[in-house]
Amino acid sequence: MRGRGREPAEFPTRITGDGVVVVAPRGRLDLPVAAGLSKQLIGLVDAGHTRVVVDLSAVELIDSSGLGSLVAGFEAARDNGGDLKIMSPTEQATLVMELTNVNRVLRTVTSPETAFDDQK
Amino acid sequence: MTAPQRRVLETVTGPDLLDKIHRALDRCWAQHRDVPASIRMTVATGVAEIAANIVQYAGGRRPVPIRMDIEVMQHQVKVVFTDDGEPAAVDLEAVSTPDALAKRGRGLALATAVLDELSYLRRENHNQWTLISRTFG
Repeated sequence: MRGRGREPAEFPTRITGDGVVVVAPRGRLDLPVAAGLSKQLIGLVDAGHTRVVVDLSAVELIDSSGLGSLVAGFEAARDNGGDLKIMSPTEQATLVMELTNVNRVLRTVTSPETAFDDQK
Repeated sequence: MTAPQRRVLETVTGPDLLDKIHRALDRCWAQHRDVPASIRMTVATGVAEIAANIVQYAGGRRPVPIRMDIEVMQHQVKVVFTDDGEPAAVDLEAVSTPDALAKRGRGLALATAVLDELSYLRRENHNQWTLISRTFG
């Protein structure tokens, strides 16, 4: 949507020594910022970063729009031979992923360094 | 807590509506520290979904008046949204959780799942959404 109150800058990103890209949204991951996160995640995948971890530790609330952005990033990664995983979800994020069955496709990992050990 | 306590937010839909709504909830929780974190979480989650629905569909690109009533009772929190926008084309009885890979369509399913009660009424020229989360005390 245009003209949102919190049209986001890109969320902080870092790349591990193994080439895993970690995206760390902050605050509320909801309607005003979800489209921006989708765009950022798909852009990272298009740039070749197909192993993605989204760190949710600083997300105070995630809504269905935010879940949709994570799913969009997951599909982009999978379509390009990679994967997207979740790290450090809050209690609220865990609840909404379980209630919507998104936890069946978005796996939670404990660290980016070991997130893709099953694919080595 | 002896009697229901009510807070009211009156504004119009727009880019900052969700910020205003969450600030109103935060002010409410600051005054009602006995409301458990689990209830705060479910209320905030349900409110986020319904408010986003109103922003997207009640007014489209047009700002419409909206009122949010938050009522804290001994064993529940009740939030009522009343807006002057277009009727919501929803059938809450028919809401179901979409496929895990769907990019949208989870909002009302999530609100229904996380809240103890969710209802929608069209009254005269108003939409009225009622959200209830309980039990504590």
